[in-house]
Parts: sequence; structure tokens; C-alpha cells
Amino acid sequence: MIRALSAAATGLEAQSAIIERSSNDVANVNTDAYKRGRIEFKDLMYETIKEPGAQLGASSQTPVGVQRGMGVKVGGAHKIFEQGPAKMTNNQLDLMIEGQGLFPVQMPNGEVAYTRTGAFHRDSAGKMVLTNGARLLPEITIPANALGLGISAAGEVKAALPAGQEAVIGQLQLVTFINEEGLSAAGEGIFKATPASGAPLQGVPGENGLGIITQGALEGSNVNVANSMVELISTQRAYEMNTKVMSVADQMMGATTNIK
Amino acid sequence: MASGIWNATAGAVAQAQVVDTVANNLANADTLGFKKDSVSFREFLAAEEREPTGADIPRGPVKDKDFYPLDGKDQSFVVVDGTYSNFRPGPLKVTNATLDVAIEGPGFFEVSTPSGIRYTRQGSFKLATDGRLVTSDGFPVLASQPGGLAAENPNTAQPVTALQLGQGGLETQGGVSTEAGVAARFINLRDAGGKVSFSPAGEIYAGGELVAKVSVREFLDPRKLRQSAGALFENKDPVNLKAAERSELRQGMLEGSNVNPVEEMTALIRANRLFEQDLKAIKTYGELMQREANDIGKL
Repeated sequence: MIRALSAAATGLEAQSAIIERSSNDVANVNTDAYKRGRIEFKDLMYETIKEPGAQLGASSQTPVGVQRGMGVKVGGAHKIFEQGPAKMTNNQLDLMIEGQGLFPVQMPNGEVAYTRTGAFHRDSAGKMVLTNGARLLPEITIPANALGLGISAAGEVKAALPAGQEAVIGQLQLVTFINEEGLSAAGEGIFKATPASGAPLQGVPGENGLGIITQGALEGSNVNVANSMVELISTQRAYEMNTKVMSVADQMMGATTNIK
Repeated sequence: MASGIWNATAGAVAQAQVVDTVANNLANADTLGFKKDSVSFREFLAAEEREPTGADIPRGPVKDKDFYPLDGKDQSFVVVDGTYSNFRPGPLKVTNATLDVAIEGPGFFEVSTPSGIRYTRQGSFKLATDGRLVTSDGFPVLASQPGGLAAENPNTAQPVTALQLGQGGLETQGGVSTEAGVAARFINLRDAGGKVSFSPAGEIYAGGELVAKVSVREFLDPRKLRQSAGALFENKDPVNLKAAERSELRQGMLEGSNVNPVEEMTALIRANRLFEQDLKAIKTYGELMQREANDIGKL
């Protein structure tokens, strides 16, 4: 019964991990390019009291053994890189990636990170930066006298200059990873490469399966509110059932104590 | 002294084990590919206690036992004889993720772990950094035949024969030359990661090209499998293994836990009450013994 208590406790811990993840997802339902999380549970080790298939005699074996489980643990939590819905903003510095890929950016501390948040701004030097100050890589400097900016699906950045002139000022690059789910989320829509994600594979938008760039749009959050709600309901009930097991185990222990 | 008190104790211990099992099942109500456990009881007759013989003329105090052969039926203990996984399929959840694959039918995926071949129905696969198809624990998923890269060897991508499967099974069970044989069956998707498709028969296509065929195995009696952590099962009986006949893969879906909360709660209530009744019996025996000790002597 002590085992029942601790197994139920692992269940509570696992279910509350889902509640925490769901609440984070729902809180970010309007965060641009937010990627919802997924938690995978694993059953814990088993205590084998009797081996299945143990030899009983010359040609007979026990058909089943006796094994008792110890509960559950959170086996993995990662992001799901499903495409979010497009939001038209008509702002010329808002870029959305349609398909696979992330923008490489240089964080203020010099580290290279990756993001799908395409809400860029211009800093005092004319460089394209994110709200948190991370610079788009390769750096693109918008001329001070530019009247407008045109970004093609393949990531070519053109500036419209006075007197009807036009100048190509840069080429956007996108990166993919062999295992996107292995990226570590650093908040503010920033992801960092890890040994699990593999090295970034750089390319031009639209080539080798990379997504294309859409100007004047932003990628919304890929959280599905209905799914999150259903998950909350079922998780809460599963949590309750685990507490029920706890109270039954407790009652049984209490009753045992009171035999005499 | 009343021996029945031990019968009641055995019953209480057995019911407590049921509660342990239910607790584990309910804790895993959301674990992908989890198979619920059930407990089977066995009546344990202390039949050899006294041979059924003809009754002699009793010389000492007479008990009813002295006249009738009881075959131990007065002392039928109960023991937990087996726990077995219930392999009823769990509900399929649609995830639309490329590398999520569910098995429809009784089959299992074959995966390679450091401690040998294991079988699982949990198909939330990932890509390792070297392009290998792995489970979420990082164990490589195996192809049905060595050199699973059909792209390198397009002419050998034939259906696996029963003979090959049998050999594979023996090889993995015997632990002989497994390392090389198993490593040759790793599935490498290289950088085709996001764009692969699984056919119902288990063939993996990347860009229209057959890359490998996932190994799906079935068992004559899956209840013989030994459970280990992470929804992995171990097969110790090579005869039990057979080729997949009735299993089909479904891409973009995952199999949930097959734990049914209603059943588990019912089992919990039942075990709880039976436990209480066993305790009641123990208590009653305790009172009887008290009377024997204190009251009979007063007569």
C-alpha cells in the first residue's frame, strides 16, 4: 500500500506537469510565433516478483509473471513546430515564414540563436532587430533614405530609394535542424541549438524544403485553445483519480492499524 | 488456534496488491502506449496438511477434522499468481506530426536498447542528430531487414519472408552476434526528417523513395512479455514471436493509454471493500482467540 501511495504521488506530479504546460500554452495564445508544448509520460520501472516464463518443470513454464509498477514520470517535454496561423499586419518589417525554418539572430550578448518571430524593427544604425534587441543574421542595414522595403518570397531584400531607384540590400537566410524538437526554448520566441537538435543547416528561403518569406504578415501562436481546454479537463480528472487512490490507500492503512 | 486468521490475512495482502496495481494503472492513465496491468489470483490449498485417511478411534480431544478428509479446503489461502498486461488497444489521438506513428492491430515496433531488443507500441518517434529514427527515449527503431536502406540497394526491398523473421527472432533472443546484426537494421532518414511518410505496411518513403521498412512484430501470446519501464516489453521466448499479419501503421496518430478510469475506480472500490471484509474477519478471529484465552478458562 505504501507502493500505491507513492505510485499515486508520481501520478499527481505528472498530471500537474501537464496542467503547468497547458496553462503556459493558454497564456501564450496570442504570442506571435509561440509554439505549443507537448509532454510525454513514461511508466517507471517494474518490480518483478515472479519472472514470466520461469521454468516450472521439464517442459512447462509459468505463462505470466508477477510485476508491479512504480508509477509514472515525465519522459520528455518539447515544442511542436507546427505552423501557426497567418496574421496580416501590412507592416513592411513583419516577416512570416511559410513552412519550415527559423531566422538566425545574434543576441545582444553575441550568442547566435534562432526564432520564428518575424516582427522586426529598425535600430538607430538602420539594422533589422527584434524587440529584444537581437539582430537578424546576416545583418541587413536599411539605408536612411529608403522610402520602402520589398522582401521577396525567396528572401531578397530590396529598398526603394528616392527618384524611383531600387537597391538590393541583402538576402535573408533560414536555418533548419535535423531534430527541431531538440531545440531549447529560451523565451521571447528564441530557440537555441543543443546537442540534441544538431547543427543548423542554412539555406535560402524556398530551397531544399525551406519555407518562403511572406512580408506584411506575422505567424500567430499555434496553440489550439479547444484542445488545451479538453486537456485541462481530462488532466484535472486524472489528478482527482490519483488523489482518490491515495485516500483509499490511506484508509486501508488506517483500518489495518485499527485491527487491534 | 484458529488457522483461518491467516486465510483472511492472505486475502488482505492480495487485495492490497490489487490497489498497488490500480494505483500504477491510474498514474499511467495518460502515458502513451501504456498497457494496463491486471492481477490474477490463485487459491492455495494446504492440501498436504493431513492425508485423507480412515478415522481411527480418537484418543485425545476430538475435532471435526478428525472425521472428514478436508483436502486442505479449510485453509485455502489466496496468493497473487500473476500480473499480466491487458493488450487491448488504447485510443488513437490525432497529432498530425510526421514522426508520430500508431499501430492498428496487435503488432509492436522493434527497438534496440542497450540491454537488448525491446518491443513497444509507443510510436512518438524522433530524429537523432545523425538522422537515425529513434524513440523518445533515444533507442533506435529497427527496420525489418539488415541494410534497411533501400535507397542504397533498391532491388533488395522485398517483403520479408517468414524464414528471415524467424532467424532474426532467434538471433535477437540468443544474444549471439546481435550487435552487428542489429546495428545494420537502424533506420537512417538523414536530413529527410520532416518530409517522410509511413505506408500502412510500414514502408518509409522520403521524397517518393523507399528508405526502409519498419519492423513490426506480433506475438502468439503477448501476455508472456515482460514489462520494463518506458512502455517497453521484452520477449524471452523466441517461439512466441511471429511476423506481422494484422498490423497496419497510421501516421500522424499516437496510441494513448488503454487504462479505463471507470474500470480502475471500480476495481479500487472493490479491492477496498474486500480488504475491509478481510480485516473484519481478522478482527473476528482475534475476538474468538481472546474468548478462548480468557473466557474458556473461567468455566
